[in-house]
Amino acid sequence: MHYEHCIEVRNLSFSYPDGTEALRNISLEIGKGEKVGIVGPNGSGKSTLLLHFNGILRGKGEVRILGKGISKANLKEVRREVGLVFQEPDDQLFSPTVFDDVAFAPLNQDLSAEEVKIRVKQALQEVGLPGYENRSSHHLSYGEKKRVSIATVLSYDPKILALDEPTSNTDPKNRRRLINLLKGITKTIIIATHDLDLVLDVCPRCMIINQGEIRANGKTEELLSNPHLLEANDLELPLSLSRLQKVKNQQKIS
Amino acid sequence: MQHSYLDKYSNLNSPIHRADPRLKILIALFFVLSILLTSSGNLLEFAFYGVIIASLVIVSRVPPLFILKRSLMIIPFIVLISLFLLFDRTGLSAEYSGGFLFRGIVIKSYLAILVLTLLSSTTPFPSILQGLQRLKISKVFILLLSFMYRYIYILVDEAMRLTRGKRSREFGAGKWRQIKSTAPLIGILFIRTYERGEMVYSAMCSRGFDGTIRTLNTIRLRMAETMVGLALITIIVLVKLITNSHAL
Repeated sequence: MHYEHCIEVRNLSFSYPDGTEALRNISLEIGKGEKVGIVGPNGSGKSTLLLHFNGILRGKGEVRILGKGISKANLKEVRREVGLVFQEPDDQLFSPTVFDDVAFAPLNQDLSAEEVKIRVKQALQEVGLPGYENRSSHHLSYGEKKRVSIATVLSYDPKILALDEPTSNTDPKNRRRLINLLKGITKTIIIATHDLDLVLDVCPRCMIINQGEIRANGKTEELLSNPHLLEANDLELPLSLSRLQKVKNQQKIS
Repeated sequence: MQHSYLDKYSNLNSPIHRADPRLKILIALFFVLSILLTSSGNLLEFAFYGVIIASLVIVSRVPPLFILKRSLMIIPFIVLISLFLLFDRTGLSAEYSGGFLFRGIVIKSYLAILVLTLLSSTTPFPSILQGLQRLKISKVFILLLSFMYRYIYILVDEAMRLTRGKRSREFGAGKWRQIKSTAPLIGILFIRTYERGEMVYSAMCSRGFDGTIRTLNTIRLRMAETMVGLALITIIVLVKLITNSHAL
């Protein structure tokens, strides 16, 4: 399958001010319309990598979004194309009401009042929370906050979605809802997570990242069914596959 | 963690709730000013103001008991600040005794707080912010208030979690050590708050924030409301005139 490149990263390295090397010589390509999982243990550099996709962090090396290198001059355009959703919804939702938060980006684009209202309505519809406009974020459940967080980027219709741990801390029902939501979106999606079942479900391709380096890159089913590769990178077989494995082993014994 | 609403009952439906927040802010301000500019001895005027507030509460359908409870919270602060008046022997005022001034200050502050409690229980906080913005209050100040409204309980939660963590592990330690270990707790709370601020700013930048705050105007002043508002102001002015001419 040939993809037009949406995100291209060349030899990207990044160290935090305290000297921690978070990313080491990362190179990757993500095609248009692809859904890619970036998996790795805690502190492997997943979130740091995501923050490079819209220029919040800028390390050594090159990051190209839709063919253009990120520079100070085009930050606004880049952020217009890359919708970044933070892991912690209390960081993502900073306005007094849900409406204000979902309308934040469209308002920053100077859209008309009518257009903004339509966008907000559609985005909330899409995440399954219609009519939540006047609720205040701190009275929402965690699962609802997670979904509103996604609505805050859907409302400005970016070409690329970059999500940091979209399912963390959610109960099974909310997790399933989020997975179905992500499956239904037809944009280019990058998901940084250690919820391997989520990746298995949503992303045909994935990358394993550990200690700031890409350790593997390929078909999700192949990578995530390889127990040696996963264990070498402080991960383990996704629950759905490990059960299958157990059943197979038992069959062998009997 | 579930917290009580800062602006509980502000989503009821009454003529006061529906009114333009700008109008409500201005009237509340005017009302508070006329309360503060009352001579401490004019109990009749205070009584009239009390009646006006009571009728407004009834119109607003906010449970009166709630307004009473909420407004009582301020009393300890006022008493603490004005307590010294009771023991004043230096002659702060030539005409009035300390006790007289103390009574005046308590009544005035309480009435003023009643008015503000009524305002905050009939206007959702975001609407108050929008009203302030349309009244040309500095946007930075409004943004500050809006972040406070959004994050105050998150901070309270964070502080509570930290204290819980401390309590569950400090058994056996002496009292002095327990007190001493509170200091780093405050430091950590500060660092977490600072870091959250950084994250929030990143989240804002990610969605195209460039330093200007844009909001959608959803409030509109209606003629009928303005008339009612003017009538209310007239009543307050009349009360002031009548009660003071009587004194003269």
